[in-house]
Amino acid sequence: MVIEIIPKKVAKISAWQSYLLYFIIVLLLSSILGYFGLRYLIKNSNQKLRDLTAEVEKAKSPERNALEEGLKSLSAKIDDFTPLLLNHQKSSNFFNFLEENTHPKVFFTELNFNVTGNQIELSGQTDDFLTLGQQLLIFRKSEFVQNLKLSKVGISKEGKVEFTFNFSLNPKLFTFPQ
Amino acid sequence: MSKLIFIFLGIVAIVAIGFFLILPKYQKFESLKVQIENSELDLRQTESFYDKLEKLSEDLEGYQDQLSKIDLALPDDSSFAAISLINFIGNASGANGLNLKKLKSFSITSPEPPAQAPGAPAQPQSKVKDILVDFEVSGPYLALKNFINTLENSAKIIEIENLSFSVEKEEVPSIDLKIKTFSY
Repeated sequence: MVIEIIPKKVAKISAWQSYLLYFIIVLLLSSILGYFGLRYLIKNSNQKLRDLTAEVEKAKSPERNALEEGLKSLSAKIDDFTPLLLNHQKSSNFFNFLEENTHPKVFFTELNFNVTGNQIELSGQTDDFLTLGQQLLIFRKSEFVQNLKLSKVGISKEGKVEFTFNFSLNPKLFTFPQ
Repeated sequence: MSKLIFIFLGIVAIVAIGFFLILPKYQKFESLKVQIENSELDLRQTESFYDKLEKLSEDLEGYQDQLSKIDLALPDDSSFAAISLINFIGNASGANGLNLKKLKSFSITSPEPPAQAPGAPAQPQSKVKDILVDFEVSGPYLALKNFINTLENSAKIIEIENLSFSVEKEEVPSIDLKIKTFSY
């Protein structure tokens, strides 16, 4: 029997390995806890999202939708009404224009007034060409008469001068006073 | 030696848990957070929007007079508006000394859809319908002038589209009128 005088060295585990192992265990447990923690948070978030969606739907109640539709319809009507009101014409100003711009010796016999196309065909008669010329000048001087044209001139059986004017009028004439 | 194996396995397990379990859940959680924020914003905006609408509706209560004038000028029922216009023409012509001789025609036209360029955003279409009435009256010049004045100053929006007359000697002039009003 051999007697060992020198004691055998026990294999020594380094301390850092132990610390690292503990650290790994703590990290592993934390990861598992973190996973379950996230599952819990996701479940809560899903519930919160469902509640919020329900609240948004509840906020859009049928009464509120009806109110929204009613106001939209009213707004569209006002939007459509505004240009109609702004473009509303005072066509009767034409008569005032005619009264102010007719020669005393001229008698108008026929009128065709296309308001939409702003085209006027005005026929009449007078005693002589001098008066017709004066009538032409009166129209020429008017700030409202545009594109004036003497389209027809003739002499009737009674010896009267018959004529037809074609012209358009400045749209300003038909505006309502502000 | 065995500790090193455990350390190695532990690291592998942590990486696997982190990559396959925690990361997808974290991404889902982040996505849910964004969705919740959006929903909260949506809810706040919805509430604010309807609060404003309710306030606007209350404010409009004070403008009932003006709104009823718009309703009168732009009635919802076009057939009723046409009948009402013809009735108005009859009454107004009589009141101004004109004789309503003939109702030639009347028509109700719906607006045409606006021309739209390809790719351009859709334009809101007007719902205003035109009601055209063509009729013949007879009477003196002054009566015609007053009649036109009455039409223009009516609560309805009435536009003169065409006016024509011819005067023969010693005869009461016959006047053709085409007028337009509107409905919704």
